[in-house]
Amino acid sequence: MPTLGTYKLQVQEKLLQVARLVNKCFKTQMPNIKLQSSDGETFEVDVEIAKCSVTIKTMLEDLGMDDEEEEVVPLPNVNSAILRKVIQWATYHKDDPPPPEDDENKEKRTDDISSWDADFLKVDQGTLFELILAANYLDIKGLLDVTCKTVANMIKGKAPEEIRKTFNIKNDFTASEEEQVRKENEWCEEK
Amino acid sequence: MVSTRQMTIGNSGSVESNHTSAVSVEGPARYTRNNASTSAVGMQYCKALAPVQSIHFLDLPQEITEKIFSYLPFKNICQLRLVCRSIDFICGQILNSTFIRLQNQMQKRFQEIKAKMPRRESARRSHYLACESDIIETLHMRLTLLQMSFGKHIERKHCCFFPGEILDEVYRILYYIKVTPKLDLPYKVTDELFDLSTMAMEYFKEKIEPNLPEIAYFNADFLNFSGNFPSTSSSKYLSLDSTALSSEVSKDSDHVSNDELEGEDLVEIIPQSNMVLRKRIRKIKQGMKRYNSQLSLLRQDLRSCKRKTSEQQKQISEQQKQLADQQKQTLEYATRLDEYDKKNEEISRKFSTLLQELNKCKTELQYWRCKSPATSPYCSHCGNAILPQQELQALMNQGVNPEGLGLVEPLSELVPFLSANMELSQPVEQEVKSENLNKDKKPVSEQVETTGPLKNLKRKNEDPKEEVVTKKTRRLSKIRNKRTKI
Repeated sequence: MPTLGTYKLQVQEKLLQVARLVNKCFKTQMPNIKLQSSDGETFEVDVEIAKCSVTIKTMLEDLGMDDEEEEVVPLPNVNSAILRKVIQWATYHKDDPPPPEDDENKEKRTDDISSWDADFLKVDQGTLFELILAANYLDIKGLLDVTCKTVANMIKGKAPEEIRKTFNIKNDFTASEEEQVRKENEWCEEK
Repeated sequence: MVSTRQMTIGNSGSVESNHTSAVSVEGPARYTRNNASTSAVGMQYCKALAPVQSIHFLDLPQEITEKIFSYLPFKNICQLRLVCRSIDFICGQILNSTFIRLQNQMQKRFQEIKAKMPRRESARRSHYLACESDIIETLHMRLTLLQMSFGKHIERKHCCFFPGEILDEVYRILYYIKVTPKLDLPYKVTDELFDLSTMAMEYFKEKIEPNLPEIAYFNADFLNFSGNFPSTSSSKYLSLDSTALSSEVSKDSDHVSNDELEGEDLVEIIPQSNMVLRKRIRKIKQGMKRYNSQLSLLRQDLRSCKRKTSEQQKQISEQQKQLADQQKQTLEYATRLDEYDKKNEEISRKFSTLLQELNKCKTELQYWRCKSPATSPYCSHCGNAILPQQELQALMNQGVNPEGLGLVEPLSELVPFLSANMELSQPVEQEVKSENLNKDKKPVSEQVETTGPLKNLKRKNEDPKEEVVTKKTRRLSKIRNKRTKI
């Protein structure tokens, strides 16, 4: 005769099975990947988002790491703060069409930064540069483009002295060298 | 997207309007409103967060810096060169590489478009690509002209392609060609480029080129050559001989490198072409001196080599002489040996004759012994002289002349007898023999008496002969001994 205890056990087992199934369904639908930053923090990210990074994408394709077992991808060149920002950016841009290939004769514009990106990149210079390095390392073209454009905007239309102040650069020219460059730049000035 | 961006820019610009104005005043006043406002955005970022900077702008890898600068117009890049050395270097690289790339690109495109055009000039004018072809040709020509004035200095890294605005203009024209469906009035499109390039070339020739180091076409090769020379020569010399030379040569090479450095520096400082030329000539003279010293060294070497070879030739001739002498000597020895052989043969022949004579002597001796006074030559029975017929015959047989024995009388008597005897039959002879044998001992006394003095004489005569014979035998034995030894 089945007792109440045995029923309980059976129900628990059934529930566990259902939970596993659901979990599995969820996993096959949205497989996750774990990214570990240089300071040891692990981020669980949707594989599709992680694949914004060509580096991670080729790694997954080459190594066949899209199994059920959750591998941790170490990213020794990116710290947790920057990785968080990168994931944030990638999550927002996950549905973007792939960026067009660079064309030499394409008109170079820096004024096509979306407002979200502009807000996203309202960070200190160090973070911005680190984002550039991370985007370069992870090979995320969209992020690299937008960050470089931001820096280009910081440079654009500034006098050399202002640029030195902005980026904390020391003028290491000798007087004659500086004079020569200045002279060269005077070629198109109106008399 | 762009509009929203501009709106945000506008907002931020309005927030920091004082900055915008400041920038537009300070910066080169050629920017549109858009540019100025974006720079304001940049200012805002860096103003807010500059102090907490972990990575410096110059820490970024060069590829990234180049990418950032690639978003800037070339005119802006030219102005950036004034910021600092490393940025100047990067900007210079960007300008030069873009200039070269554009040249190649234009050449390729010009050839492509030419290939599409008809061969006839008149047909070309009405061709649909005529306008584009004209523009591209102008671009190509202008860039080539610029290359002709700037190129050699860019190659030698004396300067960079500083008129960045020309690059901007070229890109603008290319973009214009790309986006304009129906091109018209090509000279208007390239008008600005004409102006800019002419300005740049004139400015370069008037203001910049005189201050740049002179380009001596043949000298680069010469310098390279002289730079290479010490090493090769040193290796040669080391392989030839003398460790002392190597040190000399290394000094020499040091000297050369110093000279070169000095030369380069001076060349950069002194602009006058005649000064530069003089400098070059001096350098060439130095090179000549170097070559001369090396030549004299070589000559010395050659001389010593010649001396050595002449000495060796002398030695060789001497040795040849010696060899000839020795050959002569050997020939002499050979002839001498032959002579000796001949002599030996003669001697042996003589000895053989001597031996024969000796034998004769022996038999004679034996004969005379028989004839000795102890035995009477006369028959005891009949008193007749006993003729030693048998012995005589034996003597005759052995080649001894019985006449030479001193028996003149008996022999003269004997000979006919002998001959008669010989003619007689054998039995008679035997009889005679028996008689002789019988008579042998009887007439000895008589014979001694009669032949006594004669015998003595003969004895006397024989004695020296015997001595000679003994001497001869001794010699013979000696020679035999020698021969056996040999």
